[in-house]
Order: sequence, then structure tokens, then C-alpha cells
Amino acid sequence: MAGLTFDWLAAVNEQSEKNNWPEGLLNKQQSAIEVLKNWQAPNRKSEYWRYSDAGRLKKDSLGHEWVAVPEPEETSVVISLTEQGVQSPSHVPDWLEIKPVHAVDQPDWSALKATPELVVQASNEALFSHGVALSVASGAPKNATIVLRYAADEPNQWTYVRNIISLEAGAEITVDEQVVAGRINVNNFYQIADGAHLKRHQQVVLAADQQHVALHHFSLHNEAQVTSQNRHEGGDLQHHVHWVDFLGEQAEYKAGSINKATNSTHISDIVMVNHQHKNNRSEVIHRSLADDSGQVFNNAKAVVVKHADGSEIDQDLKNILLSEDAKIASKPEMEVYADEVIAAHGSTIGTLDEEAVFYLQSRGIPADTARDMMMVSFEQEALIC
Amino acid sequence: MLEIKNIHAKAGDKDILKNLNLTVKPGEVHAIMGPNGSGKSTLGNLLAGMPHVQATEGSVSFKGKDLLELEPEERAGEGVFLAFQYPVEIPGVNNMYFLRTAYNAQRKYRGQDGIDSAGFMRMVKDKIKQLHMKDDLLKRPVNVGFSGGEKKRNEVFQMAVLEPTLAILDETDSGLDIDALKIVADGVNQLRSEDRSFIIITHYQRLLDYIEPDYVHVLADGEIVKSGTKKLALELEEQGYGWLDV
Amino acid sequence: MSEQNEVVIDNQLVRNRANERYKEGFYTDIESVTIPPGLNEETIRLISAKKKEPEWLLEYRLNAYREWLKMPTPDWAKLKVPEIDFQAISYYSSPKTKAENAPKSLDEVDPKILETYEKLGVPLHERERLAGVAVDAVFDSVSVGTTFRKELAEAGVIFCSFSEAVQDHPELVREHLGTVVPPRDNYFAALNAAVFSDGSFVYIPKDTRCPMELSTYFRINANHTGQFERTLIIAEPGSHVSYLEGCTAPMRDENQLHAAVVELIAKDEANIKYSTVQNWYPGDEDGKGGIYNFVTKRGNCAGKNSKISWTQVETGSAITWKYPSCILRGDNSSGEFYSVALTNNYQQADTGTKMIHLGKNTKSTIISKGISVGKSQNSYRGLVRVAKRADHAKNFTQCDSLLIGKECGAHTFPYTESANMTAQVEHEATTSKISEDQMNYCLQRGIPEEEAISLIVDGFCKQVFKELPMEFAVEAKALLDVSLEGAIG
Repeated sequence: MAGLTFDWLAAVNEQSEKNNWPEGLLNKQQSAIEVLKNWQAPNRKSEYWRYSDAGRLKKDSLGHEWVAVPEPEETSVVISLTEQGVQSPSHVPDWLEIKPVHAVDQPDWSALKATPELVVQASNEALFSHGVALSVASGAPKNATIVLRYAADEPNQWTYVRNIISLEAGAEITVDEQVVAGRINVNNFYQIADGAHLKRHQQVVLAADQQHVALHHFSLHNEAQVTSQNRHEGGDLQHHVHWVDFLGEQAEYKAGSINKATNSTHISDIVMVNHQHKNNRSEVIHRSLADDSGQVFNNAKAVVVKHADGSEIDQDLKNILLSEDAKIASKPEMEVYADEVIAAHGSTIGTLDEEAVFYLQSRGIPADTARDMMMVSFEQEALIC
Repeated sequence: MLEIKNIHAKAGDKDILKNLNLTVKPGEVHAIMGPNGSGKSTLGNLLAGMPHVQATEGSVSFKGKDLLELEPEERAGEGVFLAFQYPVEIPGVNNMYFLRTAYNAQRKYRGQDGIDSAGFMRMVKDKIKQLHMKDDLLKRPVNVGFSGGEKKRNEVFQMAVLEPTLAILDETDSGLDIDALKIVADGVNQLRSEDRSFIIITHYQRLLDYIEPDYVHVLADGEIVKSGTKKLALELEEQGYGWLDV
Repeated sequence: MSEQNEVVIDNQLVRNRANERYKEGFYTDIESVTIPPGLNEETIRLISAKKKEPEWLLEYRLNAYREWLKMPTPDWAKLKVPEIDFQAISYYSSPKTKAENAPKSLDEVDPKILETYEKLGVPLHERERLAGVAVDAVFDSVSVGTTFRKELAEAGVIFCSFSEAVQDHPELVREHLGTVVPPRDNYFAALNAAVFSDGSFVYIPKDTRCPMELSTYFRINANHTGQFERTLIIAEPGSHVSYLEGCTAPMRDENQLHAAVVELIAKDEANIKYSTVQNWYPGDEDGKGGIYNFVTKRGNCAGKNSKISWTQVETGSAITWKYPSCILRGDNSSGEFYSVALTNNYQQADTGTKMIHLGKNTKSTIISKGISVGKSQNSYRGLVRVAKRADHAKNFTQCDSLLIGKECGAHTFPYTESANMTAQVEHEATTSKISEDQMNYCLQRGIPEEEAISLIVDGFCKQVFKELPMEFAVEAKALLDVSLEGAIG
């Protein structure tokens, strides 16, 4: 049944470096493999793969072409993740600790209980070969930026990377995730301690036949704050899951996503927010455009458990179809078991407002420029920082 | 400057304008009045190039060019400006950015250089002061969350910035209280000049108390049935449009 | 809709109606013929034989049964459904008089049954309260009588029980049965296709405006029985019909299964309005007993400019699983779904709609209001799909949830899909409780808390109530008041 998962197992790189891994970790990976054997390969029956073709995960001969990603600024701390392993900067500032992910005593990488819906992400648990565990001290300078640069050379093999990023109480920092090259399946675990603020950028701009699969899990403690800005553009297949757990109170998760599917791109942008405690706030804004025969799936879900009073939820998903062959599916969801909530969501699918285009034209702006302006401003609604 | 000859036009599937003729010379102010459904707005939309309005017969020449052949943005570049009856809201597009893009696009069309943002800002601030408007409207997205009156004032403000040679005001007075009406009229009067013409489309004579027209035309069932001076507007005010039928 | 719905509802009438908690929960002691529990091909042959059905219909049933055996029980809804023992249910029960010799006129109907409907507020005398409404009364598995047949026949309208339609209009039934909800559509539809007993049949001829409202009143009386009714409404080109259904059952500790199928077919320019006030027994405060309501309702806007409008007020049933839907096939056709679903105590509801836009310029409107009270769970589940060729399709969905109490849940699962760039799909939803400001305002004006809640809930549902025919609007409002009982605390 789990055919696809087995394909991946076969496709995994030689993992000789795992020889020096602690036995407990190797056992965990082994049991994760056992679990995967009983799960179905992703298919349209699964909610998360309903609107994108999971069969593409098996595709061979992807190209070598990549969209150029600007070099990070010199002031940032750059960590490169390739199929070979991790490249840490030669100089590590004193507010930052970098360890290999397998060296973490009690790896928290199973904090998120994977379900069959998450089978592709869960395969990471069984197959990851490297990654970093970062710990950001409270005293980190506010303008500091850590860049995680994913670049693997081999386009046909999947590289499984797993990182843990911990912000100590009160720390405030920017993490910039840039996908430069390679077929990478990444699982990141962000732990944001009391009062810490994570500013995060995720940029996945891919050439026509590239793929990327990601799971980002955020644990927010009291008064923690996450502002997450995502840009997903192009490629063959992009599958993003953002999973948010509020572990304390008075915390806020705010995310803006811009999804652009062109050619035959399939993008799934899935956000799951668990309001397990009182008085937390989540706001999710997606602006998606599908052109050519591109497809986008937006799914924002919030669950408010019993007694999680004072929860505030806003989901705002807007979508634009730009061609006859493009498709969009949009699904804002709420599961609410507490009554003291303020929850609202909206979702629209349409095309550019031609009346507005005409208005711009009537003021002298050429039609193409007018449409571009409309698209840019549409995207800007999802810019949150 | 503008010569409309024997125009027949459809809005959607409906025949609206039937054999309409109108000539506007530089510096003239023409008022077009008429009952609801007579085709007043269709005339404005036809001149601006609204896609759903199509001429089926006749011609419109503007400064010697065939206006109907031009794209809406080219008409704007030629100096045609329509103050919309129902200005559309454009979320996310900042008014200032919008105006500068429009301004520079028109200059480019005329083969002129663009203006930088600082220079543009100074010019815009001047205009806004002259028109007695508040400059917070510059920071807001185009027409979004504007009241009916604010939208109309924003149209007049754009007109002041873009300095068209032919401005068409489509019921710009409707829904305005008397103070707002004065601001709008004042804006128009400031712009009046020898080489700039106006077509003022209105249902009521009220606006014409503040903007003195050179000519008044009565539009009924798609054609101009009567033309005259300001006196005609006053007659209409007293007698309504009913007497046109007899 | 029509202006009459704007008439202010007489609150005294509502209060009288609301006075008793589930006053429909009585049992009529009547001699009945009930086949033994159990489900197999023999059961199906027996039902078919009792109804003297033609061979093709028996085949239809048997094929559906064989499909059903292969199907898994659906588990995607947000419902906790205890396992249903299909062998413990009796699939056919009928009052004895009816079973022996179907009464041809209302005078022949067992007086006890007439009394039952009288008590339910649905007198079957044509002169009474529902003077302008034709009623088909379905008692357990059979239709016991249909009123105003003569008047309707004059207009060419056929309104009769499904069983009669099979006998009298077999060609119409055969042509349309299963065309909107095929037997293998889903688990409960397949079950229904195998064992359906009775229901209503409506046929409105071309260019005919049905002269009165049509309604069916479903009553489950016998115990250990399920009700599997089947309704088919065919609206020929240019015709109009408004149809209402109501449902009640006695209070019992056991759970009873109700698995109905409703198919609507609207041809060119036809207009069908279908209203439901569903008040099956919801179970008691502890969640004991109540009806399991698994219903497949679907309309096919087959013709151009056709229209189907669903309005439902769902207050009953222990479990509701129901998605009245529209397939908008004809160009310019439109579909509407107006729903109020109120759950209290341990009730669970998973309800919503599907709007499938296939034709050009098709339009759909969805207004859903969910109210959760007590320990209940209430979900809206919807699908709006715009197919590639559905140019200029337009949908608007508004879906609001109100939570009253700390132990209940309100959930929203809307799927929207568009494959056409000229289409517009818009979905809005909110979840909240009654605001303290609103409450305080009412209290300050001297309105007691309970009444204030009822007032606010009523306002919350207004958009839907005004779609109901007048007779039902009163009923619906009263039902809400009853169902809200115990909301404070």
C-alpha cells in the first residue's frame, strides 16, 4: 500500500554519517519507517493532496535550472544545507548555538504527532539525514538575521533535512529560509519561548520543473509572537504545511502567504492552528494567483478546544484565476469548542476586477500596467512585515 | 475639439444612443440634462471607452483623431477625463501611487518625461490645498471606504492633478450635500480655461447654479432633443422633463 | 421572497406552540402490520410484493442492495455515529387498515390516524387550518391519505404517494427515478433505494403554476422501525411548485433510523421551492433516544433558467447528516440553500449543501445559520464547485455560527473550487456567541434573559425564516423556542 513511501526509502542517499548517531535516534527512525509502511501513499482521497498531483513526487529527471536567489547580506549568519550535509559559518556569534540535529539530547522532532494526512512530511522523520539545532539566546541583537539556505545539487533525489530552531525567552530575531536548489523535503521545528518574537521569511521561487515539500511546526509559549511571510512561486510541485500549537497564552501567530502558480505548477498551502489555550490570536492571509494551467490549494484551519476562551481567529483567503486552464480550491475551516471566541473567515475566487482595470485605463494607465498594478496590490494585501 | 456625429450606441445588448450629435469647442462648458434612462451616462462611458458600450453607427472625433479607435488609456493620454458616476473601489492600490502612475503614463504617451516622486508629491499637495481637501485621502487605497461624497471629491481631485483638455463629469453632483457640491464646483471653476472644455452630465439644475454652462442640451431617449443656454436648465427645473413628451 | 413572509409573526401563537417540550412525542396505539426485523434480499422482495411493484422496480431495489453491501459506512462527517445494527430494524410497518385495503378517500382513513395528525396540528380535513395546502400524510412506511386531489387533478398536477405513482404513472417514475441520486451515490442512498417504502410523488405539467402549496407530513409511529421514504418531484418546462415537508416521531429510548432520498428535477424555466421543518425526536437531555437522520436531497436544475430553492429548519434528530444540493446544469439556472440548524443537549448535526455549477451564468446562494446549545455539535459542510465551462458562474455563501454555552461546538468546513476565470465565488463566515452588549441591551429594556436569547436567535435566523411559507415560519420560530429550552445555565 505504501508504495510511494517505499520508493522514497529506496531513493534515500547513503546515510553513512548516521553511524555515529545515538542508538535511540536510530531506533526512532526505524519505528517511524514501520509506521509509514502501514500508511497509504498520498493520493486524492487525502484532504491535503486532494488538489495537487501527488504522483509528481515520483517524477524523474527534473531539470538543473534554478531561479537565482540573491546572496544573503554579509551581516547575516548563513547556514547552508545541501545533500552533503550542513555548512555552518566559520564565526558563530555568542548569542547563537549551532549543533547537528542528531546531537540534541532529547530531540523534540516528534513533538508533532504525524497523521496519514501528513505522510509525505512524516517520511522526513524516518529518512532525515541531517540538519541543525539552533538556539537563539535572549540577548540576540534585534536586527540579527539567520539565513537557512537550502541548496542540493542532485535534482532527482530527495534530500531530507530536519532543523530545530529555538528562541529563548524574550529573543527577537529574523530567520530567512531560502530555497535555492534541489529536491528537498524539510521539517522545521520552531520553539518560541515566553515573550520571544520570531520574524520569519520563507521564499520558495522555483524554476518550472522543481519541487519542494515542507513542514514548519511552531510551538508558541506565553506572549510569544510569530510573524511569518511566505512567498511560493512557480515550480512543478510545492507542498507547504504550517502547523501551529499555542502552548501558553497571549501569543500571536500572524502569517501572510503569496502563492503564484504558473505553467503547470501545483501549490498547496496548508495552515493548521491549534488554539489549545486561552487568549491567543491567529491571523492567516493568503493571496493566490493561478495562471496557465497552474493550480493552487489554500487551506487554513483553526481548532479552538473547549475552554480556550478569548481566542481570536481570522482567516482571509483570496484567489485570482488568470487563465482558462487554471484552477483554485480554497478552504477556510473552523472547529470551535469554546464560546468566547471571535472567529471570522472569508474566501473568494475570481479574476481581476475588470471594472477596476478600466478605471485605471481611463486615467491613462495602459491595460497591461493596470493589470500588473492590480496583481501587485493584491499580493501586497498578504504582506505582513 | 470634440465632434460627435450621428452616434448610435449600445450598452450591453440595449440600444441607448440614437443619432446623437454634439460639438464642443475649446473652453466651452456643455451641460447635458435629461431624465433617468435617457442615455446621459452612456454618452460619458462611450467617450471614455467603457468596454460594454459600443458605437454601432456614427463617429467621434477628438482633436482631429478618431476617438473610438483609441484604447481607454490612449484617450486619457489625449486629454479625455471621465469623472465616474460610481467610482470603483480598488483595494490595495494606494491613491498616491495610482495617481503618479497615471500622471507619468499620460506624460509618456505625450512624449514627455516622467516626474519624480518628490516633485509629484509637492504638486499634489498644492492641488489638494487649492481644492480645500484633506490630504489623508492620498494614503488610502483608491476609493476604498470612501463615502459617496468623498468618492466624488476624489474624482475632481484627480481631474485637477491630471489636467485633462476634455473633462466629462457624470452626475458628479448626485448625492452631495451643499458644502460638498460647492467644493466640487469650485474645483471645476478653478480649472476652467480657454483650452479646456467640460461636459457636465446632471439630472438637476442645482450644480449649474455654481458652474455656469455655455450650452445646455436635453437628452431624451438617446438623442439631443433640445439645446439652449442656461435658461433652458431653469425651464427644466420648473417644468420637469414631462413637457418634452408633448 | 413573497411579501407575505414579511408579515409579523404572531408571538402569542408562537408561545402557545412553544409551550410544551416535544409535544409531538406521543405514540398512537394502532394495530399495525410490521414485518420482522432483518435485511436481506427476501426482505426486499417482501416489500416489493406488498406494494405489488413491477419487476423492474424490484430489480432496481435488488441492484441497489447489492451495491450497498459493498459500500463502507461514510466516516468523513464530524459525527459520532454509534454502529447501526441493520438487522435489528424492521423495514416495513403499516397501519393495518391501510395494509389490507388502501383507502381511496380520506373518509376511509382510520380515525385514530386522523386524530394523530389532528394532534400534530396537521388536520387532514380540507377545510381546516391548512385550507390552502394539500397534504400527503406518510405514517411509518405508507402514505395514509392525500388531500385536495381533485382540485390538483383539475390543474393537471399529480400529487400522490410514491406507491400510487408506481401503479398509476409507472412511465414517469421509471424515467426519472434515480436520475438525480443514483442508487450507488452513497451508503444511505443505496440503502434507501433498496428498501424505500413510501413517500410523495409530484408532477407539475408544462407551464403550470401549482394552485396550492404541497406538503408531506412524515410520522414515525411504530418502534424498531426505520423510515425510508422516497420523494420525487418533476417540474416540466415553465412550471412552478412550492413543497413543504414536516417530520415528527414519538419519544423513545431507542434510536430510530430515517434514511430518505429526495430527488427534484426542474426543466427549462421551471421553479421548485422545497421547504423542510425537521423536528424528528432529538433524544432526551442525556442524549438517550432520538432519530438518526441520514438524508440525501438533491435537485437537478436540468433546464435553462430553472431554479431550485432549498429552505430547511433543522431542530430535531439525534444525528443529522444532510446536504440538500443543486446541480446547476442548465444555462442561467440558479440554486439556493437557506438553512437554520439548531442543536441542543447531545444532538449532532453535520449539514450543508453542494452547489455544482456546470452551466453558463449559473448562480447559487447559500445562507446557513448554525446554533449550538448544550453539549451539541453543529457543523456546516459545503461544496461550491465551478466547472471549467461554467462561464460567469456566481456564488455567494454566508455561513454564521452561534454558540450558546461552554460545552458545545460549532464547525465550518467549506470547500470552494473554481476552474473558470470568469466565475466569482465568495464565502464569508463568522463564529461567535451572543454578545454581552446585545444581551445587556435587552435586559436593560426589561426583556428577561430567556426571551432575550430567543429574540436574538430569531434575529440571527431571520434571513432564512423569511424564505419559508408563512404557515411554516410560525412553526419554525416556535420550534426554535422549544429547542432553545435550557439554553441558559
